[in-house]
Amino acid sequence: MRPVIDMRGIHRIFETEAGFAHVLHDIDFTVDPGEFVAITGPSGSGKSTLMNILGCLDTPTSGTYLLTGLDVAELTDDELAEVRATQIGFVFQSFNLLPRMTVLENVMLPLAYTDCPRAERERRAVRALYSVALAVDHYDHRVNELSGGQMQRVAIARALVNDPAIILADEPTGNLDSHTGAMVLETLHALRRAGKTIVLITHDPGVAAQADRTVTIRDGRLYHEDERHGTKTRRRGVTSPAEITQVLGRRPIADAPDPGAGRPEADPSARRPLFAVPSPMGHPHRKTAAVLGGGALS
Amino acid sequence: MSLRDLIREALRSLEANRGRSLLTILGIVIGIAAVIAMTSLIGGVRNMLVEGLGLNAARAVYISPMYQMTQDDVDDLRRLMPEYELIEGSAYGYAQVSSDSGTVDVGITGANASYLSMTGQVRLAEGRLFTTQEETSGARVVILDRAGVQALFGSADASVVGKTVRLDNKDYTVVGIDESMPMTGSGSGSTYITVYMPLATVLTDFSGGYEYLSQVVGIAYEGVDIDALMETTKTQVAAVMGIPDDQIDEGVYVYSMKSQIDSMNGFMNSFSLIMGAVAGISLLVGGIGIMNMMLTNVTERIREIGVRRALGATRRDITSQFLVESSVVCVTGGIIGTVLGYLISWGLSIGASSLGLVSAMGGMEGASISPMISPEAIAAAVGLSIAIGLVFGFYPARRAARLDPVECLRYQ
Repeated sequence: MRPVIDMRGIHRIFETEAGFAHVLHDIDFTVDPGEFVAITGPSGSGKSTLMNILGCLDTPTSGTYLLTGLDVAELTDDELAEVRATQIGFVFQSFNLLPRMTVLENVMLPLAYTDCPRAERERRAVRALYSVALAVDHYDHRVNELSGGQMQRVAIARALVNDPAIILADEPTGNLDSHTGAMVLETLHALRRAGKTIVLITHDPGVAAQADRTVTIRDGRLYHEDERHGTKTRRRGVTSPAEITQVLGRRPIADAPDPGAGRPEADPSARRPLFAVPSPMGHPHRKTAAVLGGGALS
Repeated sequence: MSLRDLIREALRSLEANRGRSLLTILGIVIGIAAVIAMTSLIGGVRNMLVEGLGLNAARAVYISPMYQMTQDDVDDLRRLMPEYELIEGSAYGYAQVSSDSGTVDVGITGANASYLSMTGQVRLAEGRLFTTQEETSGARVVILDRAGVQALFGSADASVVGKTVRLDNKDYTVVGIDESMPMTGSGSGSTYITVYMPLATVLTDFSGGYEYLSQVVGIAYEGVDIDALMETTKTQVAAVMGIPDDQIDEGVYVYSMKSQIDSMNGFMNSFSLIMGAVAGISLLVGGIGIMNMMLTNVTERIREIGVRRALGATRRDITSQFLVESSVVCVTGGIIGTVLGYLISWGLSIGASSLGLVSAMGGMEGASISPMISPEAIAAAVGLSIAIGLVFGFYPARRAARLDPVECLRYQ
């Protein structure tokens, strides 16, 4: 059986003013269809970076990533958007529903970026909402009229609506109390029983334990369950140019100190901080500090 | 994403920031209203000035021979010069009437119906123009204007069609009343009025035996080059009247309104240019307002941009979302601005008439400006506002599209 996710030798190196931040080291990771896998690890371990690559929001500096057999590392920005629209369903910690829209419209939104006709979009959105057991009389409500647990179920419905190959849930219970968190996890379990493939990212070992299988990421390296206490040596977050060249040497990228040459997502300009926004996380300098100090990167 | 979805979402997000959107729309409204008001007002002023010169003034050629020109000469000329739609002579006569209120000086223009209507000298309020039969027989009929009615009958509103006017001891039947604004003059106790009679009547009754024309007017067909026509007319008049070549310049005087109209148009064009520049600046300011609003919108919605990108929106989807938003603002502003601009030009022209500015600008007394609104102007205004939306929305939209989705999702 072909895995849904097949990652081999994934490295992710960010170029910052202070040098290079080597956030992911040689990650091998596979997920089979219908699996419910948890990725766990402390803050700053590289969980979010891995999730961004898994979700095709970012591309690896080197390594191969086959999503349902498709090599996504080779795709253009538009092709990646298409992959996200059709293959991936995101569930975020902070729900990320659009407050101006109704529940139904939020769930329909991913289909607006496909060529799905409007009537069909509505039909599929209703079906997705039905499968997360949200009461029908809420469909026309604005999302900010809902409780946290309801919002997260709407978000799960939105992740489901395009029938993706994989559902990526990034700390889905992080903003919820334990009771509603348990309800959301139960929704994920129900989806898993229905045959969906789910990757759950969490720093909470209790939540991670709910999955079929748990992998741990620490300092940018992935440890599988049986080697969680393995002997791989700790690595610093910042790597010397020589090390990077060695990593990049596996891929034919012309200019080694520029880890992202020729690839849209890794384009240094694309990684510039957001304009005029005082975002501590958006500033490359701070990010380096976070990487160095093992701060709140994830 | 389909355009319908885009417009629906644009309206919703504009509604979410109603105050900001309305202020930005106001900026565009002012700009477009200024453009529309200026163009329609200037168009109206131009029309008024052209009309003030007389109907068909742009294609009229006036021929004043220094030698006596007869009706036969005009008939010859008409045969020789097919460029003219109409070529007619006129003659002037003079009479005096004594009434209770003093002496009335009567200037008599002898001209046929086609001449009077084509040059716009007579616009009938009542009655009729002369018939062909009256013109050939030299019938004693007359057309008066309101001032004439006032001077000869004592009241401007009197119903006088069918009554008779006695001039030089002959009775003339009033057949029509001219509504055009009269050229009156009064001084030293006398009143001066103008009346119209058939050419033949004036030549018989008031010429004192000399049956010569005072002036000949030709109305050229549409599209004929007036400058060239003036030259050939000069030559032909000389030929018809047997004026030797070396005396043409002194013997025949030909002129047209074209140069006046040209210089007036030149003046109006530079006037439009200045006004257009002023209106353009206000549009530019409105456009900058759009850009400012859209940049704020983008910054406020960074997280939304990240979510949409994660859900599968391409950079192009994000660009079009913000472009449609700015275009919706501009089109709304453009439509309101067009209506408002027309109302403003209408109000200004009424104001200008009541303040007497119209006659100051060279219009006839009592003339009014009617603002010109053309479908082209409306189309141009709407097109212009879409263009503003696209031009000034492009930079913010592109900025939004270039954001890194990962950074956007992390943004709090």
